[in-house]
Amino acid sequence: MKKLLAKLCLFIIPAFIYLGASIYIDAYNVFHVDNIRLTYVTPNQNFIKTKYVLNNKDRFNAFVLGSSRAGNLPLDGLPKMGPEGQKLHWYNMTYAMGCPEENYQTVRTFLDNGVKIEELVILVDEISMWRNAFEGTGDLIFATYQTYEENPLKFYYAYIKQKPLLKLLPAVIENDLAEEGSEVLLKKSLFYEYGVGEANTDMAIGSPTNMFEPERSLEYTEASTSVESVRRLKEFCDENGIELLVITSPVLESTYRQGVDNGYLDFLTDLASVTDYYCFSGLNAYTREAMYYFDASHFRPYVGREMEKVLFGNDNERMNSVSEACSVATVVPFGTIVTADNVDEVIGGLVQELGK
Amino acid sequence: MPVYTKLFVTFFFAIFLTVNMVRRIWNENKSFCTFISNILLLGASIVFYCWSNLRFILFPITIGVISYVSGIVLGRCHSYKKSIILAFAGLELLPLLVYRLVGLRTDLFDVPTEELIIPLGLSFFTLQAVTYTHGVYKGTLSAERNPLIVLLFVSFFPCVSSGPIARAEKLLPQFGEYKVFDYDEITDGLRLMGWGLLKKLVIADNLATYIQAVRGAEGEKYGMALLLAALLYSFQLYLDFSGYSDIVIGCANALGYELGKNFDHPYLSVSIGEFWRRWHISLSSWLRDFVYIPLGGGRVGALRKNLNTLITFAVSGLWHGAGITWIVWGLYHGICLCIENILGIGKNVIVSTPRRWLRIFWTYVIVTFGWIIFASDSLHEVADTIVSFGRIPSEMAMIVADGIAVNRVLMVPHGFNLALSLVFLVGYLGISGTTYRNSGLKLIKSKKPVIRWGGYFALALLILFFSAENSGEFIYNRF
Repeated sequence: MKKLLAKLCLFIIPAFIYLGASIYIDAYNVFHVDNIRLTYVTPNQNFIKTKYVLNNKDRFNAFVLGSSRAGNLPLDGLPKMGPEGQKLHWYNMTYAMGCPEENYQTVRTFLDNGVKIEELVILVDEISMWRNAFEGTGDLIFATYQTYEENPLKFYYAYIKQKPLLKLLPAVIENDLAEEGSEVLLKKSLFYEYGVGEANTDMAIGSPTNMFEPERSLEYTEASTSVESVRRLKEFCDENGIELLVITSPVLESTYRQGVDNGYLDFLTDLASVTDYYCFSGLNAYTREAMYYFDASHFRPYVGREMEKVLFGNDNERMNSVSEACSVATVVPFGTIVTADNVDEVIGGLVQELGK
Repeated sequence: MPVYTKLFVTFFFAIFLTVNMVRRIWNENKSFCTFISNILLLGASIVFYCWSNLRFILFPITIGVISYVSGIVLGRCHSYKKSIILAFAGLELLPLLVYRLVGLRTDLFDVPTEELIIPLGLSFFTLQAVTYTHGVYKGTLSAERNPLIVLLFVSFFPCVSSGPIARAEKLLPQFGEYKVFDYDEITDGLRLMGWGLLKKLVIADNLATYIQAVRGAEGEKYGMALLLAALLYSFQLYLDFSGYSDIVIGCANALGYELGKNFDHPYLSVSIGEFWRRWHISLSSWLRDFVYIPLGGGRVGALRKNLNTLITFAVSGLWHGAGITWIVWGLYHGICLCIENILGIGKNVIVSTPRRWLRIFWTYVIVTFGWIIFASDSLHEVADTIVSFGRIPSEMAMIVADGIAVNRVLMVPHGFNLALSLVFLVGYLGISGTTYRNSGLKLIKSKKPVIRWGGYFALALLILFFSAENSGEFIYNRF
C-alpha cells in the first residue's frame, strides 16, 4: 500500500505542470496584474484595474467609470486640477460591460482600502439600463474584484480550472520578450498610465459608411439595479466629498433606437430622479453618422473630446462643441444638463427627435 | 455522480482506502473482514445511488429484495420452478417494462405526458438481478443466505449506473471471498481507469462538441458535415461507452472484483455477428442467454432462427429506448444479421488481409448507418440526413470551384479545433490496433519504467490539457 501511495504521489508532477501552464498562460491575466499581456483575449479588467489601483494607492485620485465605451474619453481632455486646486491623476476604470452597480462597489472598495478619490466621471448608456452586477466566477471575464475579496482561493481556482489556452502561448511569449520601445510595451505602459489599451489620442474620423447594425440590448425592467446604484454612488460621493459627474453616452442611432424600444428613455427619466446628469444621448451630428464610431457602440476619441469640451471646457469651447453637434434632428442640445425639474421636457425633446 | 468527475474519483479513492484499511486491520479474521468490507461497499453503493436522485433508491433496494427472496424460494421449491422464475423475473423486469411501454405509448401516439425521469441504471440492474434468479433456478448458483450480498450484487456502485451487466455466477461469489491487497490487480485497475478517462474526456467529448454543433445547427445543414458527424458519432459513442466501461471495470478491479470485458475492438469486426460479440458484450450476451436461447436460439429451422434473431434485436432496441427509432435500429441490425445468416457471412475465417480490411470497412459502414437511426429523434430526421448526403457532390464542387472554406462546409464551430480531435482519434486507433491481439495492460507493463511512466504522465497531461470544456453525460446513462 505504501508503495502504491508513493507512486500515486508522483502524479503531482503532471498536476504541477498543468498548474504552471495555467498560471503562465493566464488568458485573463488575473495572475499578471502588474505585467498584463495584451492578447486577443480580453482580460478581466475589473479585477486587474482594481487590484492595480489598490497596489498603487497614491498614484491615482480621479477615475472614469462605465463600460468600455467610456474608454474613448481621452486623457488630454480631462481636467488636470480639481475644484479646490488639487492635481488630478486620472485612471480609466472602464471595462467591457461595466455597469453602475459594479462601479459603485469599485468606488467603495477604493475608499475602504485607502485610495483617496477627488473626482469621478461615470458614463451610463443603454447597457447600464439592463446589466446588473455579475455575481460569482461563472463567467471568468466578468468576475469582479469583490468576488475575489469574498474568497480569493475560490476566485483563483476558477481560473486555474479553466484549460490553458495553448494557442495563446506565442502571443504571451511575444509579450514577455518584447523589447523596449516596441508597440507591445507602449500599449502596456498606456494601460498602467491611464487604463486603456489603445492610444485614444487619434482624433481621426472614419470614412463615411453605412449605419452599423445595432448592438444587442435587453429591456429595462424592475430587475435593473442601475438607477439605485447611481443613487447610492451619488450619496456615497456626497458623504465623502467626491466630485461626481454622471453623463450619458452618445449612443449610435441604430443602437439608440433599439435601446429606446427597450426602455432607454424610461431609464433616463428614472436616472434624473436620483441625480443630475449630462445628456449626450439623442440624435445629433455624431450619433447619426457611423463614421464617428468604431462599431455600433464605441464612439471615436473625436466624439469623446467634444464631450469633454462640453463638460470641462470654457464657455467658448462648450458653445462651439454644442453647435457642431447640432443636426436637423437635434432638439435636445449635446450635453444638456438634465435634472428632476426638466427631465420631462428633455425626454419629450428626445422623443420628438425620434419622430423627425 | 458521473464517473468521469473529480467528485467520483475522490469518492472512489476514499472507498478504496477505507476498504483496504479494513482488510489490513482485520486480516486475521477473514469472515469478519469480508463482512465489514461488504457493508462498506453496500453503504458506498447506496450513497452513490442516492447522490443521483434520493427518491429512486427504493428501486435497486426493492429489486435486490425481490432477487434475494427469489433465490430463497427457488432454492427450497422443487416444483413449479419454471412458473416461480417467470414470476420473479417478471417482477424484476416490471419497472423497466412499465417505463418502456409508457415511453413507447408517448412516442407512437404522440400522447403528451410529463417527462418521465427514469431511475438511474434501471435498464442495467434489473437485468443484472435476473441473472441471479436464473442462476439459482438453473442450479449454477446456490441461493445466497446473506441478503446484504444480494443487495450489494444488484447495487454495486461501479456498475449500477450503466453496467456492465455482471453475471451473478461471476460477480456474486466474489463478494463472499476474502480479498487481499493485490498490488498488480489494483494498479491494473487504476491504469484502466486512466485509459477510460482519456477515451471519454479527451476524445469522445471533443468529438461530441463537433457532432452536437452540426446536429443542433439551425436551418439546412451541409451533407458533408452530416456525413462527417455520422462517421465521428460511431467513434464518439464507442469511446464514450467503452471509456465508461473501462473506468468502472478498472474501479472494480482496484477494489478486488472482476467484472469482465464489455468491449473488444468492435470496429475491427468482419461481420455484424462478430460486431455483436464485441460490442456491449454484457448486454448482447444477456440477450443471447435470456431472450434468444429461450426462444429456441439457433437450434431450430432457418426461418424460426431468423425470427428469433429479429425478436431479440427488437427487444434490444426497446431496451435502449422507448421510441420507434430504437426499435427500427434494433430491427435493422436484426435484418442485417439474418442476411448474414442466409448468405453464410462470418462463418469462414478470412485469410487474405485486403479482403479482411474490406469486410471490416463494410461492417463499419453498416454499423454507422445504424447509428444514424440510433442517434435520430425521428424517422423523418433519419430520412433528412440520408437525403442530405445526396448534396455532397455539389458541396465538393463548391469547395473546388467557388473556393468556399472547408471549415464552413463541414460546419466546424468557431474556435473548435477539429484537426486536433481527429489527431487524437487517429492516435487512439493506432494504439487500439496494437492491442487487438495483445493485452494493452501486458504491453504497457512489459515496457521499461521510464517509458511506462512517460506514458502515464502523457495520459495525465492529455486529460488535464485537452479534456473537453463541457463534458457531456455518458450517452448510455440515458438508457
